[in-house]
Amino acid sequence: MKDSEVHSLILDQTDEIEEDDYRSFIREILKHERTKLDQDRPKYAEKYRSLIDSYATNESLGDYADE
Amino acid sequence: MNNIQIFDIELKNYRQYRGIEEIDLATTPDKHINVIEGQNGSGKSNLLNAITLCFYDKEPHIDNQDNQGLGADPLVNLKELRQIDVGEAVRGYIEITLGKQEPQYVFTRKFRTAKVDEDEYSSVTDDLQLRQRFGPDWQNVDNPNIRLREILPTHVHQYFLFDGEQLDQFFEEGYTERVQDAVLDVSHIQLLERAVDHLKSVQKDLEKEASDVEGTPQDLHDEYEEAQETLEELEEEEKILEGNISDANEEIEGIDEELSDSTNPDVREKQQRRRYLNERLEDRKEELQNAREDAAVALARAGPVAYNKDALEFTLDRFREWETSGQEPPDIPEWWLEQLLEKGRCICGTDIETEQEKRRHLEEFKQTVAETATQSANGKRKVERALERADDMVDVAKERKGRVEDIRDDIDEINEELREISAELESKNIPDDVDVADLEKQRKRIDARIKDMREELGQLRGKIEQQSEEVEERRNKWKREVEKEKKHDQLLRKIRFVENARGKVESIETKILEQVRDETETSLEQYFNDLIWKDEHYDIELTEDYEVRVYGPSGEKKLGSLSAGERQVLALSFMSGLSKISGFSAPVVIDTPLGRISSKPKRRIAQNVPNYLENSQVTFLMTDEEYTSEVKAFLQNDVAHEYHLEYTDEVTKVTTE
Repeated sequence: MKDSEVHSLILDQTDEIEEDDYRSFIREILKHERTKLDQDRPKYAEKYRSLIDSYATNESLGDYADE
Repeated sequence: MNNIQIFDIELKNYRQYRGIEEIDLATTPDKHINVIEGQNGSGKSNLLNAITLCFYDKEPHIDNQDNQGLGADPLVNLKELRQIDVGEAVRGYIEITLGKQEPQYVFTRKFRTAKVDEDEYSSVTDDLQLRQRFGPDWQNVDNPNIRLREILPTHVHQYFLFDGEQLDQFFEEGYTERVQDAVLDVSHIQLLERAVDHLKSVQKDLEKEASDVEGTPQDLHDEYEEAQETLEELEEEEKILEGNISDANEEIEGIDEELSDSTNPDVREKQQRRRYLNERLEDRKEELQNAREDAAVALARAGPVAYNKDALEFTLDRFREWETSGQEPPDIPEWWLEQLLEKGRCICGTDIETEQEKRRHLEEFKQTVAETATQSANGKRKVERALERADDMVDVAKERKGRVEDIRDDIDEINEELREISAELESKNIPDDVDVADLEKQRKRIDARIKDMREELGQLRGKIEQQSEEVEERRNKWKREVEKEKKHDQLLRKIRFVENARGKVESIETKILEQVRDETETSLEQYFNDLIWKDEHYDIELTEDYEVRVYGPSGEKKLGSLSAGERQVLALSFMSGLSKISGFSAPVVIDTPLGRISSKPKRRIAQNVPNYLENSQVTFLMTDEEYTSEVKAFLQNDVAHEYHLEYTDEVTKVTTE
């Protein structure tokens, strides 16, 4: 494992998420948080908003609503 | 063993190590243990410090035998420093070679201690350096800290490089918090906590935005439809009215045909004349419309110049006055300045060939004079031209206005003649002929009705135009609201997505906490039973509150009732468990691992040590009291290297035993 990586325990749990959009989105935000773990008050809003724009599609919510 | 190992440590002038000391630590899967033995104060802890200083620029391991503490001593060997004068300095370094099957990385940290005064020193360390093997070549790597973080990052190094003797304190009062911190630290729970916090915060922002763009498109659509219906009603009225006008015109056509069929030549002639006049009237009305538009254009052109004629004449007079008085254009002619520049000498006597700054000023002045003269001439010309054209433009406007009046007079005359024809026909009473008078009365009535209807149509079309604008405005308003509503829907969708994602991250967090606690508990129990000198099996539980419970054959053993040795084994097991969970495969270096353990258990632990962390390189820094002949005998088959630290006359030498 590299220190820059998200811990394999967390990634394994993330991989168990069935919906592609949620799984990819959560992997991306965790990757982002990993790069900022050494900072006390890291910036996040812009990155999160851009990831939400990319992943919050109709399909993913449709799938979720059907659960 | 496929884990990273330390192949070699080389020290130069580091603390009690004088000159160069090289310690080969390469291990194999069969022999994965190194032992470095030495008395208290011989430099074991400083070997651990040498590793952390090289990697992280830190020396956290205090030697209990050194009452002065590390900070009191310089980094460079004191004996070396005593040989130099005040103001001079001695250099040293720590070099550590790492790799898996073969040396792959050489990390180096250089340092220097200067003698500031007698017995007063100042030490500085350089940045970490790294040489890495690429095939057969060794190359310097620009950012060694990035590579180090991939091997053994600073936040987990304490679970690989630690002092066994101090571990005893780990399970003292308040230990649950330390256990929890350590478990959460290695498993990166903070990462998930931050993700949850940030998702909450983004969700809050999105909710605020959504409330700002919540639209009411249905209400506005109703209003738009209402306006559209009114417009359609008006257009329907327009159609009916147009139809009525058309019918009325047809009626007039019918009457005109009957009158044309009159036996009376005068009636036929008047009817023909009326037809001609009506056609002419239509043409003239069209001409009047065009003439009015032309007149409006001409007036718009002539107006500004005509209204400002006095001001323009005044401006022209001023130009002429300035010209007469020599103010404009400038009375310094451009050609004269050109001559000065060619001669290279100003009228004040300055040599402008050598005085470049003054020459530049003169050139700029010449440029300004030229531009001012041009602008002045252009300005005057424009004013003159405007005044000349003013009269022409006013004449054109007047002429076009006159044409409008002429056409209007002509229309009045045609209308007058038409009225006369109508009046004459109305008074006709011709026997054996069509009833001319009656037909004409009917025609007159219908014509009046058409005029009324045309007026009504004009008003109606005005209303339709207004209503069309109203419809368009309401439609745009509704469309804007629909866009807002779309944005609102998108925001709601995003909010739901974030909310769901947060729920999933929280669920991961719960599962990870449980999993890490389980794995820590398993590793703790496994390592404890591997190391403990008792024959019986111990169960170990790590509770939800991070309390460690040890169960022996006779039930739970309170931590307080464990011997110092048992507690140290527990702590060793815990650290090893954490190093495993951290996910890094780094070498383990433990200072005084058996320091607190009395002789009999020590022997039993030594018996079990070969199984301990068998997939990792383990280097023990042991005192002579720990590394007894019995311990040595138990370890000998698994030990790759064994060194003795010989401390004499303030200097430690590393020897093979």
